[in-house]
Amino acid sequence: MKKKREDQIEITTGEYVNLHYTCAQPGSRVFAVVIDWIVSWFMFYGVLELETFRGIPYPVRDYIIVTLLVLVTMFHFMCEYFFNGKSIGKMLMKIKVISEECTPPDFLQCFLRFILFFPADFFVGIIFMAKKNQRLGDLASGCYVVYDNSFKDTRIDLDRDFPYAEDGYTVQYPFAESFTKEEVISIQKVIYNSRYKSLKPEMCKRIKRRFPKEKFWGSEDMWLKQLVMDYHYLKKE
Amino acid sequence: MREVDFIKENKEKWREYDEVASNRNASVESYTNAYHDLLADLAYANTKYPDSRIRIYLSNVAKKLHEKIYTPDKFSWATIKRLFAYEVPYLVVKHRKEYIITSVTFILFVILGVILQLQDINAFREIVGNHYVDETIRNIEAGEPCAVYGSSGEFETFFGVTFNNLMVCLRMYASGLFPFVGPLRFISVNGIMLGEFQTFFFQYDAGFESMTSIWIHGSLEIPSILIEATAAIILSYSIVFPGSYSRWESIKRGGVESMKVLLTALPVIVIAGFMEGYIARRSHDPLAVRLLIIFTLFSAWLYYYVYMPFQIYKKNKETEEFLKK
Repeated sequence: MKKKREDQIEITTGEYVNLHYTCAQPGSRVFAVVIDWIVSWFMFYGVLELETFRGIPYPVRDYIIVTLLVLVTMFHFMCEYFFNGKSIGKMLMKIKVISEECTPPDFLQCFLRFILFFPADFFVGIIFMAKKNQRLGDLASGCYVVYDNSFKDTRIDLDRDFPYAEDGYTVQYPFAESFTKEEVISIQKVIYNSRYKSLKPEMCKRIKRRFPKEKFWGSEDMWLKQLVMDYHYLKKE
Repeated sequence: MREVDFIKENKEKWREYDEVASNRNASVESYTNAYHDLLADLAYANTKYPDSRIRIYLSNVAKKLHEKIYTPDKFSWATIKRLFAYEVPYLVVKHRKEYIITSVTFILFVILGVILQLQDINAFREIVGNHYVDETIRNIEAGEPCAVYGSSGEFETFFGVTFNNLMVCLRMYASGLFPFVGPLRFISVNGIMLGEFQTFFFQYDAGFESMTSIWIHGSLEIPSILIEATAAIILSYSIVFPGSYSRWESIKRGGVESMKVLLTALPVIVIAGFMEGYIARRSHDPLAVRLLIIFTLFSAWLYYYVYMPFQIYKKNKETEEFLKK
């Protein structure tokens, strides 16, 4: 059985199929928060600087300032609630908040995250507290911050990534059939997983050594991908 | 089946499902159909091709559909109506023991405050300080015992009082982290203060007049203190008595539940702040009007926090008995 990665959360659907999400790294979360702060304070000062606003008489002006202050404070909370767990900062950093059921957070969960948001909690909590990068607000509300689907490492396109399933596909490296399953898995890791990217030159060297008579076209990345596609196309049951 | 054939066979269908998942206006039925079919394919791919990238593709589309189907309802009047018409009174029913314990303890401390003030006329002075007491005595001598409410602007008072009460609310809630001792300290201080405060006015023959001003906001402020204390007690309870849960799980559950109770105090605090800022200062209004306001607020509170929860309790019990039969 495959071991679940520590930075992944898993949900079992009613059909007993597991869906996986990757927890957002502290760096992405900190940047998202900083962006949100900048946006909300720009909004606040922007309105205060309006010429028409300056002409408003004393008591009404106070009402507006207090209302604005409340809105600025609540901005992050409202964004997360109305944009399905994404604030502006989170959208830019391609992360989002999800509940334990992997659905966007509901009103109470957003509110709990908002109430329990203190800079100290955020910066200290995110680093030291929980194994899934949960801060106090996340733990209390039962939420996680995860990478969005469209994050580059997980974005897969049917046409781009699986051309070998098209009619008229031509095999470039027929010797790919001789690879074992484990070898292809290793090649895939080197291509798609950033953790193993440093092993790419060594892997290419070994493949070339194994097939000295063959010619490889294009960049290392290109021919490695082509090898994997040819393997999938040629392999038997 | 070979992976290539599996992809070839289903590619067009998956493409359609991907479009459905990205379409905001598609019907729930089409989301559900796509979701179930896709999960079947994902399960097959997980078993047959555990190291293939097609799994990641199918999983991504399934996640999109999962979120579409299970996204909770956003803001709607029905949700708000349900929250205030059912969920809040239900929370009161659920935590009625904590409410009763808090209320009884608070009343006992109010009585203690009355006794302390009767024994020593300077007891109230020790709690709120000389400046406030001297100013109030001067106001009583001038014939306006509650003139302190009109000493600053309406909005200033409203904002200041509401902010202060919100801070008290958060401190009171946080005191729940020190099981039972923390909430008890808050309840005792507030109860004794209320008892001494009211007795102080009676000692200067301004009891009834002060009550008609103070209780305009007090009729909501005091219940809100009880709600906050109840939330703190629920939190304390979850820390000390985890039951069959692990302590951490119990704290998580208690935290969510107590926070829900605390939320019900927020509108009460804002309305009490408004009453103190705008209405309590109007000591020249006819006595009947002031009494009517106090009576209305008290009745509203009793209706919402006693009568409605009792009705829900009764209904639930009837349903339980019916199901037993």
